Amino acid sequence: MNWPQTEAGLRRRRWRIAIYGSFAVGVVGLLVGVNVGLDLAGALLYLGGVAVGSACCLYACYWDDLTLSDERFAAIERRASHYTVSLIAYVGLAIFPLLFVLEAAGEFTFGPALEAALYAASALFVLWSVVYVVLRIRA
Amino acid sequence: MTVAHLRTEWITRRRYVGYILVVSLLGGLTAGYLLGGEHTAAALATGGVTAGLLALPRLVATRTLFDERDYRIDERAARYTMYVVMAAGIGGLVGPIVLEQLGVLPLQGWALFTGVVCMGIVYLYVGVSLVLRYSA
Repeated sequence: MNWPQTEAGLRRRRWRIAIYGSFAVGVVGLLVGVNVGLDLAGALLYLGGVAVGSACCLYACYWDDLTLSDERFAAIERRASHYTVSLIAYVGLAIFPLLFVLEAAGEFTFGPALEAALYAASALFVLWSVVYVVLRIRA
Repeated sequence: MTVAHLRTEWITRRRYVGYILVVSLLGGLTAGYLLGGEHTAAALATGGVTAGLLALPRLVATRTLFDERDYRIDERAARYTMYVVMAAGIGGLVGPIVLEQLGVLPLQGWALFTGVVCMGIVYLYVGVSLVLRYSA
């Protein structure tokens, strides 16, 4: 990615590195912590990384005069969210009915993990539907 | 994506035939499963839903139910949903571990798993976002 070499461009780059770096440190910290048996330290590191990243993001957006995001970025964000939700919907619609039929035929059993995934996906689409209806009413 | 484009997409004969085949297969399998469990009313309801799904593309093609505005609302709804998923992912991943380690609550597996699933969705979103950004 090409960054503009202006003062504002360099500041924007530093802020983005700080924000994404904080999140990355948190995620890596959690994974390492869980793998070496230091669950609490990993979780706290994760929480810290997310908190620092979020605080940097809020500070840069509201208290600094820097513009981290623009119209193009917002459009990509919207499209990415839309594609992600659509992907989950299509994969879920393709897989879960098949699993129900296989379970009815005695060829497959739903484990706790898959049941939880089913509930999580259902909750996701209930939430999406509520947001959609609210936006539709307000539009 | 324009209204005309969406109309053309839906009205394409090959897509419509594919759509009917998939819906019929899924509807038939679901109805068979429900009838096997002697849930006749539910099977009839499934038949109704399947018939509705079969009719939907025709309705869309003639009345143009979806336009640019719907598409925007669709995207915005997905965006706000993703914010909630991110928040649930962070809380669900960290909360159970911290509470368990501090001795407040035994490890809540369901909450931890929900956090893992939500973070999986977030990582999928980040991947899609990166692909879109670098292909833009």
